[in-house]
Amino acid sequence: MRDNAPTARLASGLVLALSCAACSSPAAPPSGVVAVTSASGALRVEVRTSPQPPVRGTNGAELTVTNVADGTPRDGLTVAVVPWMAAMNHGSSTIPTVTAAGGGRYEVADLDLFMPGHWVLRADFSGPVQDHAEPALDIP
Amino acid sequence: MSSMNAHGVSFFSRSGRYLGPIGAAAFAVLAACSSNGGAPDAAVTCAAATGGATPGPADTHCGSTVQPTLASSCHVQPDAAAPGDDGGGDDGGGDDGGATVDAGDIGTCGSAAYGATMYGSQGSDDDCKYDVTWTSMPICLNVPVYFSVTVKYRTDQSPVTGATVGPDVVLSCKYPIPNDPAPLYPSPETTPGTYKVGPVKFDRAGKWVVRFHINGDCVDLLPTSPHGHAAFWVTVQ
Repeated sequence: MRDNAPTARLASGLVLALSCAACSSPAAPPSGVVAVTSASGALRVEVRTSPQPPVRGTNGAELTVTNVADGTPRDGLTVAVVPWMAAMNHGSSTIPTVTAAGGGRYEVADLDLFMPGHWVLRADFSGPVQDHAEPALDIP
Repeated sequence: MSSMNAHGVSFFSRSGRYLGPIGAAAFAVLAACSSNGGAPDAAVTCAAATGGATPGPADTHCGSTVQPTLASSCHVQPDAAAPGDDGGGDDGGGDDGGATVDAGDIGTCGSAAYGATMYGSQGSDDDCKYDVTWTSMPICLNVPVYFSVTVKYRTDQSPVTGATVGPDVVLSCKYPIPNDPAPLYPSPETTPGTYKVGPVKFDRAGKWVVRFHINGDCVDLLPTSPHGHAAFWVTVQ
């Protein structure tokens, strides 16, 4: 059995974050949420992490993908995420698992940001569209 | 955000594996068992060691190749590096980071950024800058362990002092070590060129990849960058 207390705190925090997200305009992501537009310009990708802010080590993340044109959620994508440190010319040894959760949400498990620094999440989208986005996270 | 991941563990419980009360307690127990801050302690912290270096062929990937390093390459800006120059060695520029498990099971998980994982407890880093040897406390399932990692320059076998050393540990490309406790970063240098790396808790049996990053805070854009990495198989039963 793993430590459940942090889990409860994280759950509460994330519920709050998600509630705030629902009230926010697409142009202004809630505090702590990273938002980028995909390479094609067609998709908006918001990233929330758990814990928030992300820590050195293993994190979870949720990508929320919407159509830039109308803000509707983009489901049905196959998503692959590779954590990468460009300046260090390497990524993490762990390949995260991505699971579709509906409503344009894709859950990323085992995001191992094992060292401090500037990490980019190389997110490749395939299926109905082929696209790419690179939201960034800084680990103190 | 409560679905289960591939391990059947909830998103939150996996992601919440940071240093919490349990981690602090585990760390305290570990500290109490340690005799000093130096090399891994001789005291057995688990009933019987069930893991260790995976036996196999000795590392020879560098042969006579020696890649010198320059401290000045540590902070070079990306536009100062030649296009496609990614730090030399066999780490293959232009790599996409890898997204599939390598068929040959060399522990790189499909990423050309890293060289093959090594057997035993000594070998050279991927780019042939350093010679790396390690020992450890007894390795047991679910008991945090420290590695004593000694790094020497291949140019003259002098100790690599003042380096930022840290571990990157994964099982089967999909399962990282837990955050409770999280390994120290950077690892303390106990004697010149020797670093106490950990704590690392192997919470599943299997053949883990333990990758030591050396000068991991250095930009790795030139072949002479002090940034290096060396990975070893560690079997835990």
